[in-house]
Amino acid sequence: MRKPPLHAIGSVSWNKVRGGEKMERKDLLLRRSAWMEETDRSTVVLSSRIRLARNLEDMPFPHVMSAELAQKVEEKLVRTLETVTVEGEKLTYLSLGDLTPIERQVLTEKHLISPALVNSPAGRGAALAADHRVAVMVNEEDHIRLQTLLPGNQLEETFRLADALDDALEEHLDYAYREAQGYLTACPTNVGTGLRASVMVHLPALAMTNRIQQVLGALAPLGLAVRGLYGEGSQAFGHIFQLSNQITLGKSEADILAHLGAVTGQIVEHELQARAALQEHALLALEDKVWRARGTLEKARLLTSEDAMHLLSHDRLGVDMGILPKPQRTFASLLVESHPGCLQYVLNKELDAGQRDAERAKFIREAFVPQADS
Amino acid sequence: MLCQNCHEREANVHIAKTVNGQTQNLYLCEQCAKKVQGANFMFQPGLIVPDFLQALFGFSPESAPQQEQACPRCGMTFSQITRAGKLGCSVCYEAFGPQIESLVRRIHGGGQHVGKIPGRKGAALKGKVELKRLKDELQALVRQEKFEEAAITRDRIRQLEQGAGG
Repeated sequence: MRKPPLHAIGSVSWNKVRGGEKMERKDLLLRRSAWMEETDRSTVVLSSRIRLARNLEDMPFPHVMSAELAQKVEEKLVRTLETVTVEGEKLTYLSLGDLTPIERQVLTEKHLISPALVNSPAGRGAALAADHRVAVMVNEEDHIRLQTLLPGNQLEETFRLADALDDALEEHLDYAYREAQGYLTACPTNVGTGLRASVMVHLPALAMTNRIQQVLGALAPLGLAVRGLYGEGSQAFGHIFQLSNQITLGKSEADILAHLGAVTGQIVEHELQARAALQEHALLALEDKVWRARGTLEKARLLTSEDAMHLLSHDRLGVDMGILPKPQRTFASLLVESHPGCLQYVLNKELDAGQRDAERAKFIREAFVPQADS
Repeated sequence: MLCQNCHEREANVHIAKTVNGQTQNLYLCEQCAKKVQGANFMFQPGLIVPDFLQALFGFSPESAPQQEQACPRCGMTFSQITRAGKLGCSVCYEAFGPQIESLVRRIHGGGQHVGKIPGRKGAALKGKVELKRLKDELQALVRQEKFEEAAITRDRIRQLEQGAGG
């Protein structure tokens, strides 16, 4: 075994917490994320996410910190993150400065870190659970952005996981907190509970029946925000939407979760009604649409991201409605892992747009072809 | 009526936002309404939070800084906070108390924190909240003439008060 050079001995423990060797990192990054699995509660609601924003009392917020101070805060938080466990499991910390641009892209595509974190990597990073159900971002907009992600509709369980980790961290950290304002955050839109609860929903039938704007338009007055698959400003490709609470102050965590849960339940109901209506009034057209999607996904040689998401959405509808057999990968895995960062990371080479479209088509074909042949 | 934001164009959009039971009325022209309501519209590409905050700040006459006072901890001034759409540190919340309060009210509708209390830091606070809850409960029990239960609650209040005092 290779000995570390003498001059590096002083920083051995630091290297260790920075996520170890490249191969170990690859293993961690390529692990299938728990949130991409399918549960019996995955129809319509693909995943549930909780984010808690926390800050240290005695440090300026990340956006005004010097690179030096950011690294000091990172060091402190990494030491704390090393001491805590999530359901008995240790987290692995990845410092963004150590990651290649493609590795950062993979983490963003898998929803484990935000694009904002990638933009200024100094003193920033994320601690991950092996199955990615926990991702704690360090020095993003706030010192700590604690996220938990689980598959299907299980907001309470997802919150419980985040809440327990938050308690464990608070044992060691002096959080910025006031009786009247709650947890203090860099942006006042998060002050109070610091909680952003969200669900990722798949609403193809509402889109096909032209009711999507009407249903989602009713959410803003209810204090809920709607975003696309990749957050603010991203398009709703693949009929995927993220619904989340906007108000974080003046409501308890339980109320926020209950409210989002209730509205999500209604949206699911609308989507299922739209699916039933399609089945009743336009079955042949529906079958044609989903089988065409399946055919293209099985045979296409070039697929853009946008094409792929659109077709995968229709295919998934066909699977949900019992028209098509299940592919070899889950819907979320196909959607996420056919993105440019993931494709290039798996193949370990840089690809131009045309090459990516070819590799994407191949990746997707492999998930569909075996069944078509059987 | 003139637009409450630009004070130039005629107001022809009425926005009523009810949050936590408090209704906020805004009378705006079309251009300003688009700017402010952007946050509520779906998928407006390029909409970023600082814009939204700046628009919010714009509605708050009392938030216009008379002179540039800086946060004693991080040195941010209020106009820097407005531009960044973010505060500089936890002390900014006190340093710019009234302005931040008015901003927070616009965003969240003016409630106080009723959520989680951190375990270690909030231990004393938790006792205080529990005491208030018990006292409310005691009053309710007395009103309902449930004296036996009231006695139990009263004893728990005493216990808690003695615990906190000793």
